[in-house]
Amino acid sequence: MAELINPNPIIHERKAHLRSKPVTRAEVVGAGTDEEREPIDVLEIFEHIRDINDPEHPYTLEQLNVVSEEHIIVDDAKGRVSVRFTPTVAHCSMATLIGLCLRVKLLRCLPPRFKVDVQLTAGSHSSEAAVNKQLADKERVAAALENPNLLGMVNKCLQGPAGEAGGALAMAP
Amino acid sequence: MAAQLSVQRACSELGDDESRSSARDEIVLAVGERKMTVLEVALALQGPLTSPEREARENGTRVLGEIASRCRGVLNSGELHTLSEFLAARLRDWPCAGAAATACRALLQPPSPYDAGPAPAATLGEASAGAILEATAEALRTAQSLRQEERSALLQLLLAALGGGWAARLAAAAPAGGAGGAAAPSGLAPALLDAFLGAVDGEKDPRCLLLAFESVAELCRLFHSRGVDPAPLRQASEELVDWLATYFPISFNPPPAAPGARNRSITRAELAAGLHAAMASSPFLAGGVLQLLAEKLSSTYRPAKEDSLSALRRCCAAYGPDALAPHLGQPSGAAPAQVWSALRSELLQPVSHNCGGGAAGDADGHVAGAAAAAACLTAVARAAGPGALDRTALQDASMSDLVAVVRAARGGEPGAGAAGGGGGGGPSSTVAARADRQVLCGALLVSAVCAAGPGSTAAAQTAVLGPVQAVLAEALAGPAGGGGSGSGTAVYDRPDAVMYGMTLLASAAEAVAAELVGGPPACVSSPADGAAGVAAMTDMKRALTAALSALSGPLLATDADADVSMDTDSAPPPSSPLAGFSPAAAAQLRLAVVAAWRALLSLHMGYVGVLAGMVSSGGVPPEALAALAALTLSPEEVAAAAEQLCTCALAAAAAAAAGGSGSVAVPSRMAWGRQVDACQEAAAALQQLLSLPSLPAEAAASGGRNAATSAEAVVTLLVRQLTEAMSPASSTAAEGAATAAEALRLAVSLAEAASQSPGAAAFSAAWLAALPPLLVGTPSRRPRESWLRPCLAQLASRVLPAAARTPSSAAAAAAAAASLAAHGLAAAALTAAAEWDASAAAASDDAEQAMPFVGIDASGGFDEPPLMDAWCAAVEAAVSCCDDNQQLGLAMEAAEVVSAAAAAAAAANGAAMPRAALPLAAAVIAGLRPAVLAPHSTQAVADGLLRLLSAATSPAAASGTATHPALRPAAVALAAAVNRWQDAAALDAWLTSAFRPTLLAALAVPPGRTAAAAPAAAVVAAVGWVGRALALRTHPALSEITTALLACLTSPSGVATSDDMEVDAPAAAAVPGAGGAAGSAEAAAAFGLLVAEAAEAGGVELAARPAAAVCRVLWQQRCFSMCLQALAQAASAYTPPAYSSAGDAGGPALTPDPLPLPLAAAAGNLAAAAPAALCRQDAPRLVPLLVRSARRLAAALSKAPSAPGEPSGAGPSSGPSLPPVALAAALRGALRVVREWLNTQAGPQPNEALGKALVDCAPELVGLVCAATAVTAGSASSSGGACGGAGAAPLGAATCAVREEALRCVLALMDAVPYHVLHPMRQQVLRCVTRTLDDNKRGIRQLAVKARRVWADK
Repeated sequence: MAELINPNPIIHERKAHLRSKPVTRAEVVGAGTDEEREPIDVLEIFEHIRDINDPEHPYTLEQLNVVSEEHIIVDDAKGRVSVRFTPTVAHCSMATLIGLCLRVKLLRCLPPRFKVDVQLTAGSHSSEAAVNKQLADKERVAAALENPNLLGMVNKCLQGPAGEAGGALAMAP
Repeated sequence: MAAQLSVQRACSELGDDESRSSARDEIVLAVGERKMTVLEVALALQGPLTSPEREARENGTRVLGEIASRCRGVLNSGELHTLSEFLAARLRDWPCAGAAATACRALLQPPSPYDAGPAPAATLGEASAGAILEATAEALRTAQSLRQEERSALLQLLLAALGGGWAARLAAAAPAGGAGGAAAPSGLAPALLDAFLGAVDGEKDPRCLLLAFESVAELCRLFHSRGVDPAPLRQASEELVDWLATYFPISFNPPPAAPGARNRSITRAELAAGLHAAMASSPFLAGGVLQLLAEKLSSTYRPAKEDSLSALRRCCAAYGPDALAPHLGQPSGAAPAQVWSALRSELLQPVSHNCGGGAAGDADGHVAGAAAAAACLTAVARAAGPGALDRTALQDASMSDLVAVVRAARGGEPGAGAAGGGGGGGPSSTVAARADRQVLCGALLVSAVCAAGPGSTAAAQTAVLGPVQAVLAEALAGPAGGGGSGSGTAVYDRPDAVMYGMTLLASAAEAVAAELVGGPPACVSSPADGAAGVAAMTDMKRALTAALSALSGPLLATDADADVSMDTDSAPPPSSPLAGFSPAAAAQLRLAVVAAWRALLSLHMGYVGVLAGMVSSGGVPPEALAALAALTLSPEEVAAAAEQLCTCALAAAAAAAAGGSGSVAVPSRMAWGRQVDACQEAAAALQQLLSLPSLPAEAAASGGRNAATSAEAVVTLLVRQLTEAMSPASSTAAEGAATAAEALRLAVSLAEAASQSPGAAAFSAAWLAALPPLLVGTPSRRPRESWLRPCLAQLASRVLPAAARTPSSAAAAAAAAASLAAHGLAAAALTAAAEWDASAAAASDDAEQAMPFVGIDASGGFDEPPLMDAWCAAVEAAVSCCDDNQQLGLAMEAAEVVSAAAAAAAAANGAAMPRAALPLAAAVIAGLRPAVLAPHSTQAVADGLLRLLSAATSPAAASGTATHPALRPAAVALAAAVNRWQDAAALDAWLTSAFRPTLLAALAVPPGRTAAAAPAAAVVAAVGWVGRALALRTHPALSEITTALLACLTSPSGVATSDDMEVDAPAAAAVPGAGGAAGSAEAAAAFGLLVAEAAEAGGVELAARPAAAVCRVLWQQRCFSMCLQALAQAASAYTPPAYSSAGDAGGPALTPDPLPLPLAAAAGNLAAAAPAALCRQDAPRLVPLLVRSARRLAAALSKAPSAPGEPSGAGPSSGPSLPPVALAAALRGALRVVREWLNTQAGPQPNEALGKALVDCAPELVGLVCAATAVTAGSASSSGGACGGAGAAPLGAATCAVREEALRCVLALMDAVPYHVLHPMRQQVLRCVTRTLDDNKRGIRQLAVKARRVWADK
């Protein structure tokens, strides 16, 4: 990548209060002793998408504040999920790719009965309508995922938090 | 000639590395065997060594150097001299410098004794070494132009010369100040220093830098060694410091480790440590280094600040007071002012920043920085000596502000001191918080100064602590200030002043105590300062103990009449135990009291250690001993500590309950707002108190104390206080329950340490002795169930096992007391149970009558075992603590209970069977040690139990007797008796004459009987338990039992027929019981019981431990193998089902599997209970059986029929249906074993046989996990049809666990089995996993997401 679209993004702390602990037996068995349903809620959706990598920075979408809990709406009974995301700059050309990543991730993580709606936060992008239209078009999404290069980029973003960048052998006297 | 050829090959550029290496090996061998000399090698190398080509010269030098290094042990002095002359010359030839340096280093180092030949190895002459060192100095001057490897080699050579003592010897040998020029030995040390500074200037390679830092330390050591003039180092010190300063602080990002790299990468910490060591290597560097560090301390770059603090500590300690005196000894000097101002700003940083809220509030690290600065201040002040930096610190304005703040708090205006600046309109939370921070920072500063030494402590006492003590005394005593109350309630007015004062004193005491640990007694090392320090500490201790004593009244007050509110919080409820304080103030004071006692206890331990050291070394005047002894706690003070700590803990729990908050922890104002639990702190302090060492007799005599610290009185006091709190009449409602629970927690935590300290052992014994009346209660005053249940559980799991581990050698009296107390506990329980049974028989089902053996509060939750189980477990643990005589007495009592119960059962009087005494008697029998009962006694016990079981389950017994809850513990007791039978012949006879016709035959009925005539579950369970007892002994009769149990599993109605079994069934008839299902379930469970490491029923345990049972070697292996063979044989009688497509066994079955469900459950239980290693060893046999059984269970539990036409659940000929919970438990156990196998195969050491078995069964395995992911509570209950209502909850949990295990197996499958085997089933697995994405449980959904990714990404 020759030049970054946003060379100096603001990095936010990963929120610690979220339900991000690994799956344990106590959580599976101890939380509920019978078969009462723990509904799919906003936190669960957010946990699915918080660790998606940004396409151009080694940070997650949560760290860049592209996605947040406030912009997620879930209705477990009706099977609806709506996610709004906010690019770091209004002219971000990666907005479509980020939206595609969000959509693919949710499609892979949620039961098939869910209808997923991914859109830009209102007023957050210069081409908001075009990007939203593109993301809502199932055929265009399907066609995009047929493209091996694009699918590779999406999969790379969905791999999880990027590893620590290795430091250079440098001494600064 | 051959040698010549080898040399040519070694230097040849034509051959490969291997041939050159082998050639060098040949030369080394030849030189080692003296077939050629090293000089001949040099002559043979003449061509390369004198070649005009630099590569050839380098190569030749390297070969010669390697040979010289490897043959160092056989070289004689002449050869060494020649080689050293030659290699020294080569050092000046820059292409050869690296290779020559390596070889020279080998020559300088002493020869290894392993390399030496028959004669002792020659050492290098001084002349030769001098030549090498001169050449080294010259080479170092040009080192900057060399490559990294060569620079590194030269620095290593320098280190070898310096570290090996060559440089020191050569420099000392020369006349001091000789004018020999650079080449003369007299100028060697300056030449080396000069050359080194030239070589390392601008060095950036971390490897070379590490060597360079080490070289600085060695060079400084050289100049400080005897006979060497240090002047050149003093002259060069400025240049040296300048060079070191360029690297401070170290800024280094280590590169990521290359995969497969053998060398560990250098870290920043190593470089920083090297740099700090270099800075600390000579006092000559002090001026420059202190200046540098003072500058860097004021940096805003945090690593610079942290490194400065660390380096300052290290350097000051190394320089010593003489070197520091010119720099830190004059308070008006520039350097001390700079160092102090930097440390001061770091120490007081938290005052200006709000660092409250614990760790989260200290995001900027101000508190941590202040603590580091305090530690640094201690080190610097100690190094500089008394009257230097400590005086500067104590004269600082912040100290007078501190005193003003404390004084202002006494007047009711927190923070109104000189530094507070606010507070005109009364206390506000902001001002109070600032005052808190000021006090905390001041405490850090004062304690840092106090820790610096006795002189500093005395100075701190004069400057700060004395005034604080005066304010504290005033606050506690009364008048002055703005309170309006009399002296009796004065303390209620000013909790802030009291809290501040106590915190300051306690932190100072804690710091001094920390310095005492491991350090020399300061009062001995510096008598003048020591006396002043001891006097200061005495004042401090006196003030603290006086404050604590004054607080004991308010702490213990039950209803104070003071009506003054302390701070902004609301007034407390009048019934509060600390009515004089607001709840918040009381909580803070409790924490302060606990912290103060902890500090005093630490001080006590520290001074007792010092006294012990002084007494053992001898020669110390009694006055000094007496002065130090006065600093320890007197027995009265120790008792007061115990009382106050206990009160604080209980009051904190009561206050938390009264406040309605579940948590005792409160944000502590004196711990930067961190959440602190007063109960935990008090428990830790009490543990410390119980393990206090006693004062040495000499010191005690000098100080007029008793040598023993009245441990007995403390224990008595603690036990009295705790038992009072646990008593049901102590108070009512929530507060009483909370206090009792806290008292229990405290007592358990103290008693648990019984095996570690004699004090804790004594407490444990005393508390156990005091417990029976509380546990049993009286008819009018029964214990609370909310206390009784955890108390029994803690006794069984923690307290009594710890008491049993008390080493009788170390604490004989405590061990005897513990065994006596445990015996008392068991005997009291038996007696009370008998009385309870008698009264229960007479009385109606009154709820109050139910306690203490049957719970009344319990709502019958599935996860809460009956109260009687807890009693049984506690009594069994208590019996284990008793000695042999006590056990015998209890056993006789238990045997009588069993006989009476058997008689009652035989009389067909079910109601007369004791409900409480019988299980406890069984627990007593199970808790006996293996060798306690004589054979005839064992037989009597076994006969009694057998009669009881037989009579209770006979057809003539009253209704309900066969399902009496006491029969399960009785079965365990029977097993325990059988297992410990010492006379093998008598056991065989008993098995034949009593057990077989009575119980074993009851499992067999003539053919044609129906399920209604199935044996009682209790009989099957008893047979299973006896089987376990025999399995532990590896008794041959075990096979008979497994056959009978197997027959129960496979018979269509769950009834074994006489044909199935090889036993005679003369008059024994099947008995009416819970029917075939319960019996089959028991039989299936028995297979798990047979091989399990630990097993219990009704709270009574028969563990496979040598202390608890007779265990033969390899019992588990033999039993497992036998059971596995029997089950596999039985399963082979049922043809496996056909599947929808050939070769795809992972798909749905066309016909149901005829394998009986009990048989499948038994296989699952067996595998789950057996150790993992056994399951792996027997994998070829176990894998097919287990997978098939688990699949059968999954099919039975899943709602959807496996194939069109197949009925859900049990097949037509599958035997009796088992409870779904039992099926789910068996399936979960089976899946856990499967997962363990898969993880093994995915791990670093897969098992070949297991892998083959898994691959062979892969389709079935995939089918199993897919079916298991579909098991839900709804499907299981509809297929089982026997679960509903109260049973739904455990079934839900069990099916959740099944799905979780199944998904974990799905995850592990991909790594454990080759993908080409799994590929055909990929879509099937993905379908199942996608279905679980909509699971009811969130954790399972998360697992499903992972599994889907793993399988979809492949």
